[in-house]
Amino acid sequence: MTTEQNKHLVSRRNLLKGAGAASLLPLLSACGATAISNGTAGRVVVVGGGFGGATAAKYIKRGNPAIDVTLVEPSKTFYTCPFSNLVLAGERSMDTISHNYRELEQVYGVRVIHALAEDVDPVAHTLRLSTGRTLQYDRLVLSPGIDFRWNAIEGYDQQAAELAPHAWKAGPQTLLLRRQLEAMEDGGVYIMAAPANPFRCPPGPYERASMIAHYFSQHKPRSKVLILDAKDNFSKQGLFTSAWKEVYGDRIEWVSLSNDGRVVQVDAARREVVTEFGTRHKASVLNVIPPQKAGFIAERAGVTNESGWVPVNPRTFESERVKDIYVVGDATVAAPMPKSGFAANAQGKVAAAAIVASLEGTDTADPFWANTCYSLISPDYGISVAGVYRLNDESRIIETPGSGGVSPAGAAASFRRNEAAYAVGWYNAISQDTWGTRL
Amino acid sequence: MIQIHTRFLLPLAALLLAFLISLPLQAASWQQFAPVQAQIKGTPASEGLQLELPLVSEDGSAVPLSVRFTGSLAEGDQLESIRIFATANPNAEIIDFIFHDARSLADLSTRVRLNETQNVIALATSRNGRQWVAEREVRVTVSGCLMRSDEQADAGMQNPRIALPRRLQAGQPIEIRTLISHPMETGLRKAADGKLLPQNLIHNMVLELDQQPVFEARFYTGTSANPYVRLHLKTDQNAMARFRWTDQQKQQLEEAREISLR
Ligand SMILES: Cc1cc2nc3c(=O)[nH]c(=O)nc-3n(C[C@H](O)[C@H](O)[C@H](O)COP(=O)(O)OP(=O)(O)OC[C@H]3O[C@@H](n4cnc5c(N)ncnc54)[C@H](O)[C@@H]3O)c2cc1C
Repeated sequence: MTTEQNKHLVSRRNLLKGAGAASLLPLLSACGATAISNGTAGRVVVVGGGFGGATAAKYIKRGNPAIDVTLVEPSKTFYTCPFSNLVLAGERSMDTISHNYRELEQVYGVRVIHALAEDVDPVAHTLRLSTGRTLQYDRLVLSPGIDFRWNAIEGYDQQAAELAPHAWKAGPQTLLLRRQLEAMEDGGVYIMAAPANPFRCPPGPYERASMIAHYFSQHKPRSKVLILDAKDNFSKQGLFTSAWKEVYGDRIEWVSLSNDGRVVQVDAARREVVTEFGTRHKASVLNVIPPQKAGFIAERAGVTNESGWVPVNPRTFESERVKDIYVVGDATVAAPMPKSGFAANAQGKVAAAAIVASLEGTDTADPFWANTCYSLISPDYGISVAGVYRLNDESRIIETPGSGGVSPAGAAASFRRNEAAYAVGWYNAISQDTWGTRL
Repeated sequence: MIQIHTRFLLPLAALLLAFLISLPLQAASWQQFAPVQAQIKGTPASEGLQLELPLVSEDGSAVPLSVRFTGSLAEGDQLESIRIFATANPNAEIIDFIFHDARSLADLSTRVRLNETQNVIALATSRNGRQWVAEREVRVTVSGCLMRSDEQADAGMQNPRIALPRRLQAGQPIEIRTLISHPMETGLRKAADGKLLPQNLIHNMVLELDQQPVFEARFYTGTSANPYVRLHLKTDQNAMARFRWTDQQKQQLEEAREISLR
């Protein structure tokens, strides 16, 4: 049942109660029946084998192995953004952030097709692949992550990203940025253009700045980190800025939106940027994190709104716009939950439960979610922010009052070291839960 | 009897349902909102004023807002002001844009404070008293990964910034961006010791072309810290543009730029 219908059901209930005519209800709710393909427990196609999609595929199979589940993902190897900042710092290899789909195929019986999903026909319930094949679905899950708004910053397009990497999807871009940092002469400036909200991983840019400062302090001690930001506030700001002082002195400089931090123009070949009020900065290594939107397949499926993101019914993560299409992860509007891998994983489970239930013709309980974002200031200095989320009376996601919080200010070095160890523990646990990778 | 009932009830229910579907989720609230009502004379037009805000904002302390007049004015009439109101902030006023003469265009952007999820209303008024209204709902959530830092409460005006395009053309809209550093302390916020921090606002920013006031932005508690205004001018004469900010203590700061057209 779509949110539209839900909303009206609620309204109808209220109205009918008010009118003293509750007896009308049975007449009205006959529209809730679900159509399932003949013979099977239902066919589910999942697009995207990242945090949200791989989790959803696995948990649908765990919920009901008789459901036919196909995962569509172009790559055979998935590299996580989490811990890719450690790769940039030379503290980890790409191998240690790579995952594959063997467990999903061999243990859970998910059919994995390595292709790009190109189009959705929500009426015929079909998905067209880059291979020319068409898949039929009863329920579709989209977890395509993000795409970039090329040219939203003048001069920053796909070609420019080959010179001034974003490295905001892990893989070749991570390696490109790593190589540039390695090749940079000591005394250089690494400049990062950080985006306005909403974007993938709110603390990510600041963790990256930290890890690059760490690399500089070990290998290029005269080099600097300059963050040009399109925001005035950022995630865990107080903790980051005091940790930067403590660990790196004045190696890292942050320029806020109100201090002319917003980059409006990029010359990737010259590694130059111009900010809103005309300041020109020249970088030795330039990293532009551009504005983002839901992965393109979401738009093709007609589930995005004018913001470029996907509004969902938070009880089930079914699209508010198109029936039988569930969307999870970074592509959705799930604020106050952040666009994190942890959140995508949790949402994947909620969608999986809702899909299993809807194919069985039952309903699910109200979900709740947890999220923790660890960020590393250096390999042995971790900070975190945690939250628990639930639905309020209007079926909107809220942070449970009094839940979570951030790491304390002024904590002892041992506390920070422990949090860095927890970050590794978190990474290992979520990798195993999502892809079955044993680290 | 029962038979008759159900036969009537089904269409009735369908009717009710149709009615509910056709109801907008949120009734337009400018009709019920006293601070806007106090400004309205007659019936404002609902087409002609475009108000843009994000559907969801993860940082209520600086929500981008744009407003543009696309309606038509009678011969000789001219837009006088666009005022922006918040329906659920402690104070209704967000910002006023005042067009002192027709060289300033009604195409503006700024950043605003929204305490919580609410509707934002824009009201445009012409010199002849015609009015236009626009309204948008913004859902404000502070993301779990976003924690705010505190601004310094008692700072004065600093670092006025003006950005002009490199090439200015006669008769073409010229986009001008302005920014000034200032905490815009609301007077509603408590310090760590529990005492209210005194109000400290910039009152306005006036733009003059060769000593003639052309445009003015009036700031309120609903204007974000470090007031930002993006505006448009249209002129066919070279002029000296002076931007003057005045704060509540009558302190002033001025920046000048030459408008030289090609
Ligand atoms: C530097 C950095 C650090 C981060 N650190 C953390 C952290 O410490 N903790 C944390 O929780 N989160 C972190 N994140 C955020 C995390 O990476 C994302 O929130 C997470 O990847 C979102 O999961 P997703 O399933 O929405 O998208 P993704 O994980 O990106 O998965 C999307 C998948 O869909 C596939 N795909 C896209 N379009 C199609 C299509 N049309 N057809 C088929 N397949 C398609 C892609 O190939 C991709 O494999 C970090 C992000 C960055 C950039």
